[in-house]
Amino acid sequence: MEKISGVVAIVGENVSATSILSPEYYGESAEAIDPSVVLATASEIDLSENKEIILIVGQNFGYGSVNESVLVALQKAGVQAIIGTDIPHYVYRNGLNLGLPVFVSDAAADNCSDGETVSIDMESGVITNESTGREFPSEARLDFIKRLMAMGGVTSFIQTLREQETEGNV
Amino acid sequence: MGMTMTQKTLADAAGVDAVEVGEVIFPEVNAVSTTDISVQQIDGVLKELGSKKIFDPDRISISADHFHLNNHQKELSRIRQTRKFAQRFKVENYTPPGRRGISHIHNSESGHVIPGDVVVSGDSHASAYGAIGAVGLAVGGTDLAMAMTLGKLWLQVPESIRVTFTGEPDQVITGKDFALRMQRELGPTGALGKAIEFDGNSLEAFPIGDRFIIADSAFECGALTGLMIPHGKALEYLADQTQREAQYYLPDDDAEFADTIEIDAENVEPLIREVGTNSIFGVSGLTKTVPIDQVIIGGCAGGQIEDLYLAAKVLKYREIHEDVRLMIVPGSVQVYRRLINEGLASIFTELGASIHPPTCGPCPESTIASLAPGERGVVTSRGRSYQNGSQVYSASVAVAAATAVTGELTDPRELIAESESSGNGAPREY
Repeated sequence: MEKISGVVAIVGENVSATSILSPEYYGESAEAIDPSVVLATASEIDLSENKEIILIVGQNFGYGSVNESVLVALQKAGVQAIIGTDIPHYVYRNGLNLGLPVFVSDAAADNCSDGETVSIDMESGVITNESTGREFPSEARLDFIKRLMAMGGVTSFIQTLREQETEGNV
Repeated sequence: MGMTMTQKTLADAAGVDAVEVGEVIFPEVNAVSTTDISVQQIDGVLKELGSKKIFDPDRISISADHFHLNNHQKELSRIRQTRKFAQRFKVENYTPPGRRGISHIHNSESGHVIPGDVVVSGDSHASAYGAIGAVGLAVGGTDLAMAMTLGKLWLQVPESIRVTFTGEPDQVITGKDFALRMQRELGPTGALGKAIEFDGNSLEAFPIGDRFIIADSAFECGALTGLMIPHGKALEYLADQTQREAQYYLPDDDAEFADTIEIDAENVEPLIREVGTNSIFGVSGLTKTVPIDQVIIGGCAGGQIEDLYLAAKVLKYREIHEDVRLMIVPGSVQVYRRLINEGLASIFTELGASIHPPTCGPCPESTIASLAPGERGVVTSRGRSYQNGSQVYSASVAVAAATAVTGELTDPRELIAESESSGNGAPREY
């Protein structure tokens, strides 16, 4: 059963898209984004150290822009997954589409601290704080959402749909 | 159980009789709108998919509306890439800088998007299409690539909140003030992932610009989309559209709403949002002076011709404060022409305002809206926070215009009362 893991980095409430990534980078490819600029104005977290990060976010994280460069930048900076509550639908959606899973869990958000190690079971959605040994459930996901996560994003899903259409199965 | 307007529109697009809240559907899109800010991302995904063509070029519109006017090599290159992308995929509905204006405004004006449509757009202001009764979905580049490849996208059917605007507002109380009142009630996450369906007799009376502002504001409450029945002034606005026959739906009487909110004109005053915070406050309640350096009236919110008439009426016969830079940004070239032909441009320029071509410039900091550290600005659009020690306030056209006169955040009612007593009234007429 696949698990992802990383070091916890906590970000507060109402962190805007422009606080995660300056608009001058919107539309840029991942290669053009310097990880040291990601979240630089909103947090003391340095995402340029090439660690694998589990980002635990406050409500309304990434609000204000649907541009997915914000999520691309987080991926570039090593973010493996986002955990939080009241996450804007476009942040959730762009994350799923790009293969950056987003989990909704009050309990995990309340019981993990900066620097601790967290793992997430991609099938069950159970979040484990490896530093304390405590486990937390995440909000149930639709089968389609699980499928998108398992496929690593919507691009693989589009390929599959196209192949099915070509074979006359849809 | 009946369905909301959003559910009915999505069911139709998905080719089914009914949809339930929470289910995943694959609605066909009537239109895909993208801009110079997301073409690079779409192109990258299409290359990854090996897509050499897109599903229906006639349903695509591409607008170079974000980076005009610009002197930066990177942004100029984006405009060029946008043009090349449109040519490569044979998209005839490409709007070069300065030709038609801001995407969701000119697409609505031209009939590329009509009532009942499902539109996906790479612009965060896509819910503005709700002003004409279309479901506008703001999405990222990967979703746009999916829509361009398959003609559809995945969507979880949202719950809806009904917001009803009633009563007859005071002369300078606009749709923006109603929208801010709603935002104050719902908060930034009060409609997270939901649709907001607007209704009420005030809405029917509002000019189209106010409808665009209100529909756009749904996003500020975290909503997936905002939708209105295309009644009232919207029908006049849509009268010249000729391309396709509109088919739109009304909500069922027994449609289930997650919440209902009623806002009466009696309880609406000129409001201001402090951009970058959740603070929305009444300008009449200010206890201290807030000096302002820059005022931008227009863009996609506040840039319709009725908005600019209102601005002119508040400004007319008065000097713009010497400390204020005032910029006027029509939302489309059609509005720009009327601004010139109907004499408003003369009023604005005689007062010392600059008139900017129709672009998204008031929002992205790459063009005209930036402020120096320590400066304060007022915009009629949503506005952006610049993280440099400056402060942006978002307010109605009337508040923005009154502020340009006094050089500080100002209640337009006070300015008008003052001028009425001196014989220079500023009634709102259309």
